[in-house]
Amino acid sequence: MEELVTDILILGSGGAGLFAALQSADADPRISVTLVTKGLVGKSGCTRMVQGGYNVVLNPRDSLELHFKDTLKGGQFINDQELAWLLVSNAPRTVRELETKVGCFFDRDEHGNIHQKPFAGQSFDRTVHRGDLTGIEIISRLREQVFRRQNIKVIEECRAIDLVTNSEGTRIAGAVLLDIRTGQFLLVRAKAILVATGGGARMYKISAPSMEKSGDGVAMAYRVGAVLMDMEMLQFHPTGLLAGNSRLRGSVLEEGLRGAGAYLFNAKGERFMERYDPERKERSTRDVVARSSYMEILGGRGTPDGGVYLDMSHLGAEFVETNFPGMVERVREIGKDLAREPIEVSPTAHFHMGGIRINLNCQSNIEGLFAAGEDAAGVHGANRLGGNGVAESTVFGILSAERMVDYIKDVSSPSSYSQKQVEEIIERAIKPFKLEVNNSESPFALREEIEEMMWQKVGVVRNGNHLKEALEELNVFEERLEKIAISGPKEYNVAWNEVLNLRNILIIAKATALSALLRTESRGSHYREDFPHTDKEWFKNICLQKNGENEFKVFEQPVNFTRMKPEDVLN
Amino acid sequence: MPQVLIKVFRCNPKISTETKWDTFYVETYKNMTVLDALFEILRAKDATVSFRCSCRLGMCGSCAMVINGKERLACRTKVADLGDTITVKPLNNLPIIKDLVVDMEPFFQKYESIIPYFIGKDDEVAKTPSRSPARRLIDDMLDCITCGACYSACSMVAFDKEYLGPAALNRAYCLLADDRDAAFEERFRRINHEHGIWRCHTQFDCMEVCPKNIIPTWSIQQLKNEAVLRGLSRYRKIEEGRGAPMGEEMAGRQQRNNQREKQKLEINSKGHGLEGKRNFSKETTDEASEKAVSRKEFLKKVALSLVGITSISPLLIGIRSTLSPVTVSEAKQPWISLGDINQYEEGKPTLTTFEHPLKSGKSIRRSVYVLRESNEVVVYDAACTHLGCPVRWNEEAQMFFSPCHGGVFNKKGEVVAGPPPRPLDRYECEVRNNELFIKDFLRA
Repeated sequence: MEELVTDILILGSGGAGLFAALQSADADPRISVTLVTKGLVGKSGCTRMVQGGYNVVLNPRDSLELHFKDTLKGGQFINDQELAWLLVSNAPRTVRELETKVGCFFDRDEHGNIHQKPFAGQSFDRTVHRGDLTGIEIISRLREQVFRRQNIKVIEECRAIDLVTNSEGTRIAGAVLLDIRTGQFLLVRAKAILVATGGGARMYKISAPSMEKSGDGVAMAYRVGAVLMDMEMLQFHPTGLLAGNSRLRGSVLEEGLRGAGAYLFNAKGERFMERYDPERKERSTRDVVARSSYMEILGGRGTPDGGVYLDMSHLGAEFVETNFPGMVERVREIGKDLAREPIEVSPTAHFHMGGIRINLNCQSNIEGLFAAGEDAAGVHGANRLGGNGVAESTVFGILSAERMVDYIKDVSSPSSYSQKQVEEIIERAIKPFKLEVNNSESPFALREEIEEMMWQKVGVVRNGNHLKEALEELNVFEERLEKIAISGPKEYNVAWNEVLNLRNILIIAKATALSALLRTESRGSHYREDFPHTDKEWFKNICLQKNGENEFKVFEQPVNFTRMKPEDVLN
Repeated sequence: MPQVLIKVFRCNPKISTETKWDTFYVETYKNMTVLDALFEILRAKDATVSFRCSCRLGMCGSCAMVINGKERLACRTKVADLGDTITVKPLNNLPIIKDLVVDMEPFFQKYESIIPYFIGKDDEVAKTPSRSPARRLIDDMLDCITCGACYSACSMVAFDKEYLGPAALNRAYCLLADDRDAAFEERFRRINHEHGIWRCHTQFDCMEVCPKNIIPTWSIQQLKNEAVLRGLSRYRKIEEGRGAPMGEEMAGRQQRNNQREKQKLEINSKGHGLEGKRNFSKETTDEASEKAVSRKEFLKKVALSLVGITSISPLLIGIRSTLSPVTVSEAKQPWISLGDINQYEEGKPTLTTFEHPLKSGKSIRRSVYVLRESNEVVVYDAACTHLGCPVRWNEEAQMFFSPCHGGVFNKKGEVVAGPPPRPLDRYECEVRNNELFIKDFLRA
């Protein structure tokens, strides 16, 4: 097996991974950076899919404190306040860097200043954007900058299977990768590893992220003993497109539509948000709007396809077509006209606030293992504001790189590792090829069942019984997955990769269901119909860690209000 | 919902060069895309089909492939719009990794060669208003997702393997037109040569397939205008160490831009209203500036025709022009394989290439069209019989068009219009064991 040695190994090429690679490479040309990406570099992951934009304080009338308060309010006060402060205080320099060094060009107002649009849940219009397809601009420009750095080695269409540690399991040593094109394995030894592979929202039937995302980074970190946090906090975006069985299903119609004044109606023609949040109505936070829509659908007031109507026609067709061309085009794919008629939408699984617990150095409890972007927990608490996602991945991409560069100064060489651990990882990865193919079920069919079950029982509205059932069913799914056999060549074997995806997805799903069962209250994106109220007792984060083969060790930690108490924010 | 028949191209070069078509009947449903159909095949028919995808919303460009003979994104192509038989092939002009997955490396190597990354001049955020004339020039060409559709569709890429291709040149244009960027001269040098802008023959293949409605032809044309303005009225080779002969600063460009009158440019039904031409040239003396003004006036007229100043064609393959077909003695006519006959679609001329050896030991690449009809195979030389420009097949018109002087040929290769003196040249061909061979009739 090929072995590669590098200083910094970065898994993932979204906003966090790319920015971390550029930042590490620029810090010192002698540092060797290896960037590994599951798809093509810059073409996989969700930063590219960002539509609405990027929250940042640029206007003198706005302030970091306001952005910080909005972020805590959105997160229902269980955010790690120091991480949230890092986000808001670093966003301005990051946007400037995107403009002046990376080469992005964001939309301007008539004076030539960067334009900022309104987004739900914010006290000031602070969302920077390029039209309604902001991510393409950010990620295309970041990807191009990788060409400029000679000390970044890029390995495309290659996925990390598992992380490797020293024999005590306290320090990261490297990662075993699978080259998807050749079906060959590769060991990369590194002084520091950044996981930036994105979250596991794809475990739901209706979901927004790109298709290859399966929470690999979080699942791998969990398997080597990293602490996970806030896993019950999974955001459902309120306006996902309904498109029957097509894969267009679940794609997001951006936040800015409601920011601009779109209405939501149920099948009876009622503007139902007036009942749920009379003050902010459609411009309420994502969790409130998603849950309200879900309640309408559950209450029998949904559309024929099980959604609600999003209507912009009162704003004038020209306004909609001018400001949201990307969204108009997307809706046209299903033969509808966003500018002139109501569109059926449903909540769609969108973003995992939970993930790997990190400290202010972006490091997990495993030495040398760093996380940034959606893989990391703490910044957003119980619910992420629209526009804070790409801000997080870029800000923490840079910060994690700065910290890793510092960290490796004191590390002379990658840690030793156990050959046995590596062999076991590979053995397990190729197991499906050694099973009897006859009568084996399809991983794609199994996936559909998992997604359906998660949607029904660990979805927008949860309850104790459902969550217990979900945990049992997930164990059965795991057994079934172990029996799936794969045939055909190892080169670019999509079915084999799907099995590997599902192994990770099931870990994320179990952690989500278990944490949701333990949190006996409703907060942010987590809603329990058997515990519908938010409870002061629950200013805590739920943490999970691996304990033996199939066990979770669970503990709670109280939130540390280092900067502001909830009452300071609300008054 | 009805069933559709999907023919999927299969090939695993790691194991063998053999290629084949697998056929699958797929039950369709509302809003089903080709990508959905491929997943349906994976789930229920054959789990070993390989294809690439990520975002499934037309934002990443991973799933570009040739669907019913045209480059498209699988995720943005509705099955219902394609009739009851759908053929799916990998992109052209790129090596196959497996089945529908191609290696994008050659595409990105060329992309990299034009310095595709921004090099900032200033630490302050530029105060350029959106949709100002300076930005309008760029904005409509900026949303490229590097899917490679244009690279696959471009007949000049097929013809010249060193040609940078539409996407790379379009990116170069966006950066050259960006006031904030500091690498103007070096980047311009890297596109101003025979395998760069001068290889484009304004055939608009790229525009026809671009999923983002970008018109690289337009961008390339702007660059040609600029090159001509700089006194480069003929195609030239840039040798190592000899830079472009223009020392030029970009200061003052913005000012000039604002003075320029706006011109509305209506380009086909895609509705690209591109306003305000840009001219990069810097007048170093009053005299030059006067000349430039008169040139500008001239350019204004011609640029509006979108074809602007057509490049003085590089002599593509040596002018074969009006000579009668070359006759060569039998002994010098080696048979050349054009691969598996089944890779060529029935009833549609398909462009392919082969290497023609030269006496010098080198070889040149030749482009030919293969046409299969029932049991007959015809192989046309792609060179127009007028002056040798490579013709391209237009499926809608069912005609071959020459990009240079208006030559048109029908499906039988007969001259329909323009200056060509004789029908398209044909190669003698044979099919043995499903492999297509042609006799190379050209003299080395």
